[in-house]
Amino acid sequence: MKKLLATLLIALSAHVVAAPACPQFAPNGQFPVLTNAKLAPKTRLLCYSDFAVLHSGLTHGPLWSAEHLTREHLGEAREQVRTNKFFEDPALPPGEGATLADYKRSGFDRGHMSPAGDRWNGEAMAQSFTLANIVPQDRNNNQHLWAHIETAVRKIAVRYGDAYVLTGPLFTGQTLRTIGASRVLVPTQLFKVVYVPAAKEAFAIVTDNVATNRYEMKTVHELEGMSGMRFPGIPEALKDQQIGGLKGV
Amino acid sequence: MSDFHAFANDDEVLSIEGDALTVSNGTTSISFAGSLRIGKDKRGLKAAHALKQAVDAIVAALEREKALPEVAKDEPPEATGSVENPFV
Repeated sequence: MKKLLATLLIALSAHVVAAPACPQFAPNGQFPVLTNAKLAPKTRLLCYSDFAVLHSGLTHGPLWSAEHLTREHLGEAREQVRTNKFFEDPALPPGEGATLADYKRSGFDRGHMSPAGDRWNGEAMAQSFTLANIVPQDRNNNQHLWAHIETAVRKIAVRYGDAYVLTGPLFTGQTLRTIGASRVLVPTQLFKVVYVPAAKEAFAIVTDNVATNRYEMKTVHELEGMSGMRFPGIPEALKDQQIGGLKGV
Repeated sequence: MSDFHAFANDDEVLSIEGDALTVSNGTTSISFAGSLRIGKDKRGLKAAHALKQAVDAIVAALEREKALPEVAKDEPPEATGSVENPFV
């Protein structure tokens, strides 16, 4: 019986990888595809109540975090007042996830990929504090530039009714910095890919993971090249659009 | 909030109006980040209460300390490690 159960569990977990259980958070139900095969080892899809994460046991954090923002949900999100706690994700096998100790005294902020401020109910907000949704982020960047970028993206979603947003870290260069005993990789840059169906608009934002007020607008194709990922849910026809910049950032 | 335990841990974050203003707990310091517009309305009152409860908890925790230094020294962060980029 035990053996049968184990087989069943393996079959189930294989199934989860093959067919995402939460396609509603990705445009046209299609999550990013890893075109750089070196990103693929030890990745796990984690579904939460209003966002999804592809977690990497190599970086000890997310490779991307996906959310579908709607005007209605963002209205609810603004009403949230609650105390949350960062936590080590129980869904990850030991050694794959980051630990609270890794971040303590690291000098980095625990930077949300799908932001707490987008979550539209208490359960979702609590879940967004999983370390599976967190990367080591420069404190100044997180609290200033990045917060402004998150607000600007929310405004776009409110204006057009909805938007699909993917947020994640980039790792460029020959050597990377790490924090903590788990050796959590410190991203060199952070990105967002935003797709606004009603505006027939798609674009990417990239910033260095340092204290800066500068960000760059990229086309989706450019970001696909930089990230080693492809975004099949975004219409190809929109992937070369050049967008000027974000309002209010 | 009554569930914000000032200076008792490094993991709690009080989020007010989404994440317009966040109060991040810590055993050696507590950080406020963001900006909050408190309207003359019920939402504003809810936000003001949350903020007041957090500040009250901070004041009470500090007043309980018998020997507060004038200014505590900041502990420097631990040095980062370094690895070959596994993705290039």
